[in-house]
Amino acid sequence: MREAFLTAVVDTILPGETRSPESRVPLPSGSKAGVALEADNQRHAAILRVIAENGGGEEAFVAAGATQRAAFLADVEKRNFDAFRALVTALLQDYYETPSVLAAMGWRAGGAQPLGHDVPEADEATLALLDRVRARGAIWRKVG
Amino acid sequence: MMRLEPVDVAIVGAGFGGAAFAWRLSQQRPGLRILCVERGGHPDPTALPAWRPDWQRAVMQEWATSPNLRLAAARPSRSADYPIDDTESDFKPLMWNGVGGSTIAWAAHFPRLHPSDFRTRSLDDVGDDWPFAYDDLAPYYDLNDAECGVSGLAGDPAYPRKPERPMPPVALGRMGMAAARGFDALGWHWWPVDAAINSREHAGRAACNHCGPCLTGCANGAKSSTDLTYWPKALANGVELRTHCVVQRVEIEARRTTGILYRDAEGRETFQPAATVVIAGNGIGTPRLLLASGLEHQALGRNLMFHGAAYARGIFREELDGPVGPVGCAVYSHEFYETDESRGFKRGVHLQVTRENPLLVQAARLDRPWGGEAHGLVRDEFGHSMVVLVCNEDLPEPHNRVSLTDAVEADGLPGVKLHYRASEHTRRALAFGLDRAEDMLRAAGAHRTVRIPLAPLTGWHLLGTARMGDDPSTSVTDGSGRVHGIENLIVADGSVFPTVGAVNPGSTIGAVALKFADDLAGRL
Repeated sequence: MREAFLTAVVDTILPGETRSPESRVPLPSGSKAGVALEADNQRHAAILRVIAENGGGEEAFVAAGATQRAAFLADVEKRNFDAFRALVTALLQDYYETPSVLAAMGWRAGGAQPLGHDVPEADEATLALLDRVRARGAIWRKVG
Repeated sequence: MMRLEPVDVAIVGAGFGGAAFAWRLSQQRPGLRILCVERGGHPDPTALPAWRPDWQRAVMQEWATSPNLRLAAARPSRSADYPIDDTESDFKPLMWNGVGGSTIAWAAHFPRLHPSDFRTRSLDDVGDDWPFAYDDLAPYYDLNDAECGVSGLAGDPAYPRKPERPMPPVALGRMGMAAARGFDALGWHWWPVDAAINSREHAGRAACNHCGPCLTGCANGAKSSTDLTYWPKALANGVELRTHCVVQRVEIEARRTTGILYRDAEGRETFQPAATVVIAGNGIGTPRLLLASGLEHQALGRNLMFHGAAYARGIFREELDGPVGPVGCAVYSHEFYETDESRGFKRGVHLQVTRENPLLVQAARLDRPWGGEAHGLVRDEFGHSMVVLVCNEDLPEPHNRVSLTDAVEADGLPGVKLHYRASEHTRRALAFGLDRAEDMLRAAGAHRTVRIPLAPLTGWHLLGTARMGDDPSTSVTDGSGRVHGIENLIVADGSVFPTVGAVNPGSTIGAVALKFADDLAGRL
């Protein structure tokens, strides 16, 4: 399969953000994040052939606009749900491990350990709310 | 076939039930030869996903919660799994197979049953009464709490008095505090959860540093799992633990078990004679083994219960915590736990505020996880969502069951299949609970809620398939876990629960196993 076709599939599944909220860094497209499908990809070869056929061939799929390509994929998803979702999941796994994507989401790249995270303990105002719960007394059902 | 020297007690399964039983019996009867045989191996804390940059994908592959997903994953799992046909089950079975059992991959949410949960037939004319009461089990709950290490806050008015907790509650975070405000605005009960997770350094184990992925094993040992709690003490007491050994049969002759036949890692078959055999393989593994051993009993494998489970997600404009902190633990409400028949169902629901999934899982679980709209939804939800898990009291129904198939699996045992349909009772209770969950989320400030009316991948609680009872025609075991008619064969896991309440069973599995160990020690 041609690289341009594979890139177009990746970027239709994972388009970049043209604008992002609150001046955050926009999410990159899949290909810009470094996500790629290998030309000799065995696991997803069958569904990629279906995508090409549905798009009128690899070149036609590449030449189509973003909206048209998304429509092609939606059609493929409808008829080949499991295989298409397996492809999507594989791409998502690569995409959401990419430091540039994690940074755009305001998240830290790397392992969850050893740094861990800061999580605030209950503040005084929250703990004071328990007084109302206590004031009601026992709510469990007595058993004779 | 090799035949070994006899032992006094052979335990099958090194999870919560087997570990608690082994430790307690070894403490009460120091001279006994006690052996535990486990199909899997020890977890390796240095190789857990949390240390790696690709930890998120491990949640979907070799550390997926479902053994079927792990078996299908591209990367091998350390869990010694067997396939489970769950095509006819509304809930998918989740477990971990190895030393520690499912405590390796659990959330360590640690509630007790309520007193009324032990008396559902007498009180509400549903389910069955347990052979013993909450007060009988309370000392074992206390002992189990002490051995596991509980963070929490004493004084919860939803329960009879519990001992002071040695550690304060796990951090509520912004999410837990928002939930507390929501419950408070409605005038409902709420309380910080009991968690078997260190909020402070305790018992030689570190404090939780809120890394997030509890379900892929705890990297710093803050989460209580029996490989870290009961097993070191049991081994120090002289209990022998043989790993990578799959028990093929429990041998039964003339209404007594004579021992177990197992296959070791090299495929050698070994007969281990034992004066008493204890099965603790969980609510699927236990009936699978006993049925494969030819044990015939009307109730064996039947009355499978999971807990009905559904959840509502609230999306907030304010920033919450994201996928950090103990995943299953923040605050909960038992406002609707006890029966109120005006709701249209008996028994009750548990509302548990839990944390977000990792970013990758959040993105992958969208209805349509690709395309530009998916980016927008992930942006909207990530770091801004709260989940309220709704659990209801699943009731025992004989048609919900575990059965054997004609297949012989790679582990040498027959295939196993689940037949489980959520009842109308469960669906009504979950619908009520979801309404209340959405009420709370809106009161807490959610601008949007998403409702998942039945959550299939929640089947951790594998219960009821070798139920306790006084009547041998409707139960498999007695109030000490002894199989009716085979007094030296004991079941010591969640299989024995006659009913399940509406809360996570781990705390009760441990307490029941401790009680059964004391019962056996008293007979020896």
